[in-house]
Amino acid sequence: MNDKKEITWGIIVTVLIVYFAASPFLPAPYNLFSKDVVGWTFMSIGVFFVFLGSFGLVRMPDLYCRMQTATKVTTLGALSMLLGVSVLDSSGVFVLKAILIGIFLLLTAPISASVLIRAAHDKGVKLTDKTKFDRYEESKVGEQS
Amino acid sequence: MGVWSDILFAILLSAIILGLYRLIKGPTNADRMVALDILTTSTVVLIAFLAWYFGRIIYLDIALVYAALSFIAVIVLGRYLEGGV
Repeated sequence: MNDKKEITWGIIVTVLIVYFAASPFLPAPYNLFSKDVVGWTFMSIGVFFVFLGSFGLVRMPDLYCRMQTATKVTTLGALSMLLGVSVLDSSGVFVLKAILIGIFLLLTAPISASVLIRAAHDKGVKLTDKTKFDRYEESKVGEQS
Repeated sequence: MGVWSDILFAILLSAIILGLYRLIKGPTNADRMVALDILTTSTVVLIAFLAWYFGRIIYLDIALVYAALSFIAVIVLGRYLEGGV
């Protein structure tokens, strides 16, 4: 029973490796490294992560957890989406502007998240009940005493 | 092109609708600001997608300006919430 499972997985992995190695020499729709396949893959990953960010925004129990999804997952999705779009439409100006937007998002998303979260914490927004420790609160107490 | 781009467009729109839910319902003002942040990033992604879909490079300029304005809006709202305007 176990042998049979291992042999099946070995065959599947071998076929995948051979296909991956031979794919640069295959014609267009079966070529894994063609422009379309790479661009669509990056675009799908980006849209998936943007959706996950919004889903976490609805599902998370706490302002701080929501901020985590907003600042990490959505930035990753936006960067992947911009990469996929600029791979698909490979004119020079488009790629340049997409890179500019990506750098801007990468620089500004953590700053705005940090400002927001510090303001909310100073204002006294409640943490969820499952929180184990709050290092920012401890550091503020240490400074005062 | 074709069906798959329509599916991606629908998923992006549903992500924006989920963000709008949190923007309307959010218990505190900080929740609404987080929702605003995530909505602007999703909209930048949507504008980039539309720029590729219609083949117009000029749309990416709009996305860049929108990202800059949303950053400034979030910073200003954060300062306002902090009480140190």
